[in-house]
Amino acid sequence: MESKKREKTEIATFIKKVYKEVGRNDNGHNASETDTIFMVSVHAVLLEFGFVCVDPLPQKKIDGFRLPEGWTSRLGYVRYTVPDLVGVGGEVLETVEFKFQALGKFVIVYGSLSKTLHSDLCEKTGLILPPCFMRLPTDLQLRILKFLPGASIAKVSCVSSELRDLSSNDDLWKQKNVEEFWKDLVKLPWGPLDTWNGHWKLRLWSENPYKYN
Amino acid sequence: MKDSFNPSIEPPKKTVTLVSSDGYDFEVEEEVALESQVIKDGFEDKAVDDREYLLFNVHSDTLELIIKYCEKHVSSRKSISAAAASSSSSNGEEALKEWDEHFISVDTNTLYDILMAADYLNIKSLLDLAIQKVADTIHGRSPEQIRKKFNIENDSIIDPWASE
Repeated sequence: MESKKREKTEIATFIKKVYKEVGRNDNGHNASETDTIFMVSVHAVLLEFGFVCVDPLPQKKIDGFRLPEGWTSRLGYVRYTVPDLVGVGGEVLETVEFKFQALGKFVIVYGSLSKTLHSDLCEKTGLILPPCFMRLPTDLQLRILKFLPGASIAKVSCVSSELRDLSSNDDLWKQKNVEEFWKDLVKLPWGPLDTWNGHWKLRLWSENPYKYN
Repeated sequence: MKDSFNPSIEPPKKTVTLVSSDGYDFEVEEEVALESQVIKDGFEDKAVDDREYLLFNVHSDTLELIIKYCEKHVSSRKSISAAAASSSSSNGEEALKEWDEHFISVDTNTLYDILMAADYLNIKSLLDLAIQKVADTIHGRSPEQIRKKFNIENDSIIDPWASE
């Protein structure tokens, strides 16, 4: 509980810091408060994850937390890149564009971080990121786990916190219940399985304790 | 263009061009390309002279392997059904399984490349083959062995297998 609370305040402080910096450097925008906060928050999250903001003209990296000159949250394009792609003089060749658009009460953010950024940047610059299990998309990781027996999944869940989150997927354990315990009973009505309201992992555990101890 | 209204005129050869992410063209037979569900969907809507597919996520090295796999599967499916039609016994399916096993025995990087490409192109049999192979590397290993194999740092507090 404690650590979660601390984490939250840390993120909030960081956004505040970014917001302050952005506000100090550019007072020209007159967008509504909520839009601005939202846009700055997205900006802060991207910076937090190690992305670098890029000034479109000239295409150079922006130091600190600032947004490009003349940005507005009504309809703004902000470009980001990764530090690996910033040249010695701060010049940037490849970027990913994020588009912010305020529509009434909503602010829409366009732009993709996952596959597009990844493959685009790697492809255009010749950077090679070796593929590995942890960089696979989550749905593929889950599909791989589905090929494993429950006992192996339990071991995978002990590898790291990320894998623990991944392997506690309830559908996965439901499938394992059906495969490993109920496969001989498929002709029975599905009542007992359907009435189960708890976590499927616990159920497999309670039906088959010898396998997991 | 003047012949485009006459459906009886077929293009001389039924091929499809696949372009890899690094810009190489691969000309393959139509039925080989159709192994990919992604290409199959919407294939009929595409103009006959525009059967070119830009595969932004597939490198030429991987694409070559994928095409090899699809060609093998198309040809052996034909020979299996031919053998079934003439009711002569054949061990085509077993031979294909063996071929698959040999095909997927590659280094880790290639395996993940094939996995990602099979997912992108939606070739179910190949995706299952690659997933099974990755699952095999996990199966029967302790958490510590998995960490070493996948280069993952342990940030869990509780590790019931720590003593192994």
